[in-house]
Amino acid sequence: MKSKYKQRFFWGILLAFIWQLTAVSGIFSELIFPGLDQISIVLFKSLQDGTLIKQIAFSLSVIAQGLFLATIMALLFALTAYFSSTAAGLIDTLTALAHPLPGIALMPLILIWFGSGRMAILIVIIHSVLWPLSLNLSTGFNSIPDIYTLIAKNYRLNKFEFMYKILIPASLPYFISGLKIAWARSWRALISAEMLFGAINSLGGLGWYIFQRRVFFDLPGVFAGIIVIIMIGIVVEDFIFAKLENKTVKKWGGLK
Amino acid sequence: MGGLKMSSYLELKNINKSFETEKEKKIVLADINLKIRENEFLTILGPSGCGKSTLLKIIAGFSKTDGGKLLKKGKTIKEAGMDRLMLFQDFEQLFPWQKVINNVEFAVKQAAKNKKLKLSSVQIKERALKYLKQVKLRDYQNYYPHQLSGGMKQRVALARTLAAEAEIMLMDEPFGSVDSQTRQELQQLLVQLWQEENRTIIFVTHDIREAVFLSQRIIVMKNEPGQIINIVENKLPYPRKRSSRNFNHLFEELQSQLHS
Repeated sequence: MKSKYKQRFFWGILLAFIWQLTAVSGIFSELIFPGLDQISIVLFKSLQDGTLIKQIAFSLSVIAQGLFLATIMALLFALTAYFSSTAAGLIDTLTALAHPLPGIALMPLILIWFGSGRMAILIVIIHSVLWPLSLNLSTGFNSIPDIYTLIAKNYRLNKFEFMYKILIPASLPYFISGLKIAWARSWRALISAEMLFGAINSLGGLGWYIFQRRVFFDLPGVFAGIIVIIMIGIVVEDFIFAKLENKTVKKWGGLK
Repeated sequence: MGGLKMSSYLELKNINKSFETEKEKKIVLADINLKIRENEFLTILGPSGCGKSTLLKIIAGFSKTDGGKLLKKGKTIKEAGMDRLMLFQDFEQLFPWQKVINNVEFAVKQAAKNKKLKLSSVQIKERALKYLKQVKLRDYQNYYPHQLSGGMKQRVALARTLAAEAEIMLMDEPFGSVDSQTRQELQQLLVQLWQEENRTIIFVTHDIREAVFLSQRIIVMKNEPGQIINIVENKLPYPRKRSSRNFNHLFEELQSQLHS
């Protein structure tokens, strides 16, 4: 684990160095290929005057809300499907229809139906999270060992007890991997939705930040936005998800 | 069985069971009749495919019969219940997401809930620890199941079944997946626990020595169709010695019955 970070650090520094060399070499105009110094100045300024911070906060708050709502919906879908075969058919059909549909394809429609506010972005995020997550949860529920159902019968667990004492913990590995897919999908959906829907609450989010910089041909600004997006991605994947896995699945003896 | 009147604690009456495949109907159990005494240690011995595990599942209430009855103290039972708990061979029967102590506490809590008892968390833990101590795993209470060996996992599972205070313990070759050294230790532990606690044990095995070592009565079964061919009283005194003459005598007798 430690050596992974060491390696990343090493290669990261090397790539940054090559970037900087290319920038100062003058092969490309600094208008289209800014140096790291210019990018950091813009990044620092944007952070300092508070606009970028507000935009990051906006993006993260929308995504957190979307993930939360979609997770609850996915849990409801998967649980209903597990306990009722009629509902399972309906949910399966809905998933088959909606899952392959990229969120971006829905954006024009959402723009007409819901306008371009926070609600519209939320809907794009929920769409991109709900289906893969409920699919993963259903797979998890259906692949718990038969022995658990026998134990539940033997110890007279009611449906509710079975759900929270066995079904959900036993399928947690599937839930976490679903959440990872959900996060990646919603992050993409969010940035593109923000670009398309423009400034919401007068400021907008990270996607809008990048889009705006492009309009002013401020490439250091565009890169600053991209760097922030990358950083948030790394923090979520390597720290939040890694921690969640270490505290659960890994501690229990790995994935089955 | 003689002329003595047996108190029938658990009674199997004309149990039949068959599975239907596309081509044929396979009879798994044919007309099983058996009376089980309270607190007795009974083994069901037979070759694979004789339906001994199916019989145990029927007693547990996991499987339906095609006619026949299961009676406990004269009352018909149709469903699974905590009075008859199954101990499986599969190591996966423990919950990997819970520590050893929590796995056992699960049984204590369910038992209390079924008996409508309110227990404090201290009482729950005390009970769980008592049984962990009995299986000599008190020091491992904070381990996760994956950190234990197969034999230790089965001991935790045993503690869990004991902690649920099931009157009848149903064991489906529970020591079938551990090495022979560990198996002998577990057999010894089981006899000891059975002598300390008032429980009825119905133990399924295909291992003749295991049956002779453990039980007071041995139900001998044959396959195709699964039927009881003999019921052998095992009067060897506990603790039993695997090397004794009487032990080997009984072993040979059972072996000849199984191969007839």
